[in-house]
Amino acid sequence: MRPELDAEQARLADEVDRVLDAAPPGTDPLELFARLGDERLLAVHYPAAFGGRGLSLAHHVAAAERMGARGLPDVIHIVSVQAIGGALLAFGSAEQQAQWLPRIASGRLFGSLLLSEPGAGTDAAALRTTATPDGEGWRLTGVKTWSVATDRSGIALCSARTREGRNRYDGISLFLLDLNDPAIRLTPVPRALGDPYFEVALDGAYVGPDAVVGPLHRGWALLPSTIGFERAGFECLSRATSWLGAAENAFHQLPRADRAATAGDLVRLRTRVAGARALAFHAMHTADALDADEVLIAYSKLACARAGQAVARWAGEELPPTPELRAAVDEAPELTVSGGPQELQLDLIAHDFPIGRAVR
Amino acid sequence: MNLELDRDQRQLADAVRKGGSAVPPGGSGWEVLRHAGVTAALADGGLVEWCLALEELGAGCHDITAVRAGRAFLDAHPGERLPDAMTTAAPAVATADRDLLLCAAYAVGLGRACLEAAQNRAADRVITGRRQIEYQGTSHRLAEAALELALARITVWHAAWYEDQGRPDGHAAPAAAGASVETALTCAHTLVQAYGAAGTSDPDVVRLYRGAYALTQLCGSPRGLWQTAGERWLATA
Repeated sequence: MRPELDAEQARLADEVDRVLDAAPPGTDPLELFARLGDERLLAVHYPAAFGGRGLSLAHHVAAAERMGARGLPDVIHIVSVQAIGGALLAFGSAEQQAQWLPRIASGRLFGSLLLSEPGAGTDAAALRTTATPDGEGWRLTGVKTWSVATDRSGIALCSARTREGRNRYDGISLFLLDLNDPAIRLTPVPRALGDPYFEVALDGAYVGPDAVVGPLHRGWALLPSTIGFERAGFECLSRATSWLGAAENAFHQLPRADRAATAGDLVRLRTRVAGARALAFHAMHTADALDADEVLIAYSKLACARAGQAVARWAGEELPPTPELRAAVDEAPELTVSGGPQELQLDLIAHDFPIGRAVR
Repeated sequence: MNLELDRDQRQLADAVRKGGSAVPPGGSGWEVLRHAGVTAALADGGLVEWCLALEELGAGCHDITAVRAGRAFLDAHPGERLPDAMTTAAPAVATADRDLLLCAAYAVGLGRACLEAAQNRAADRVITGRRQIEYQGTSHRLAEAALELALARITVWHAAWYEDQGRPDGHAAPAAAGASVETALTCAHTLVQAYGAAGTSDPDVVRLYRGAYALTQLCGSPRGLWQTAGERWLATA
């Protein structure tokens, strides 16, 4: 048991700092990703042949956590390096791995997930997008939604129905799409806060047979691993940590009597965030290559999301509003659904009988 | 960074768990440790090992007065062996952080016992033709308690680890106790709810329920503990 980064993890985090410190102020985040890629820091868990360092997931998250703490848009990183890259590492063909992973690890190619659809958000098996055979390849038709950073992405991992299955989970396949295809149209969906979501229309987009990731018709089983990182809650943890920092700054501006009255609340929040972080790192520490324990992941995700929401709520109730805290209050509800609804995490925990064994 | 126990630590916790069956609930925790044959290991171990043992004693609702005295003896006489028998029941200094952490670990164990009893009951009890645990209102409540328990255990382990490293965090002990007592109370209420009317008469349930509230006498109320943790943090922030 160890509540802090080990020496190798700390070294990686320091390396991230050094790369970011060396960049001129105001450098575009995408350029920063490229600089990190040049130093093989973006995906240290990839094999060296694919631009990584052949280290473990636990090492990778230490570096990734520091990137988030330094303000890099971690959703781009999580989706590109962890979700899509992770899916290719685990299920991709040797050709797919050689073609895409080095570019992702270099920080010069980003990706998006095209899983949710209008009417099929948290119920991703209810998808209507189809992929129909066309020569040796496939034509994809349908509409995807709630996709993030799609305008900055060159590729996307997309789910589509390739046959009427024996049940609703059968007959779903995963494809790697080139987003520069003119048959793919992006429409931003503005949000009150933050970058827009994107609706993505697939108008008979053609892909070759080499675009299928994993076994044909059996893509559903791959999704838990594909979005496992998002479900581990690191994105929520990053926000919780950042919001906690903003809350502490505002707290220290309070009159002395108010600080004394609310310091216990703040320590409670600090403790919750620290506990969530410990669970998230532990989930990655115990992962077997890219295969993390689904129930442990549920604990981690729930803890991270709840911690972030608790910080935002407390800040909204007790502290004078600042731009950062207003943003926290506005964004906090999103943590309920990111990476799967909290109800799903609770079900996963409750169905692992005896309840609690995954975290003992 | 991880929550993995090493082999010796797991064996110690297993031994205390098994030793607990030799002593009835409410009996001496010191006797449990002797039955488990772990007193020597504890004498050589750090606070993390003591907290692992205390969680098991909490799960068995054993009396920890003499155990706390034993730990206090080691704190006061570093390097000395534990006596074969603890004849004194004099409590350790209740306000000492290391003692507070032992009590916090005990609270985690008591909460765990509540959660285990609650889910066993919910798995057996049938309400209008369905097992109680199949109702989401019950299963989600159990899951929430399990998460809270896991987080409380982490606060205890982390605080104990830093103590063992000689880098104690000034507010960590009351924070761990605040989280743990609060969690034990949550789990106790979850247990009573799972039992329904039987929860008000079943002696095992009543013992755990009252045991959870007794923790507020042992450690202090959660609100007070968090406040103490906050004051200490503020003094150094």
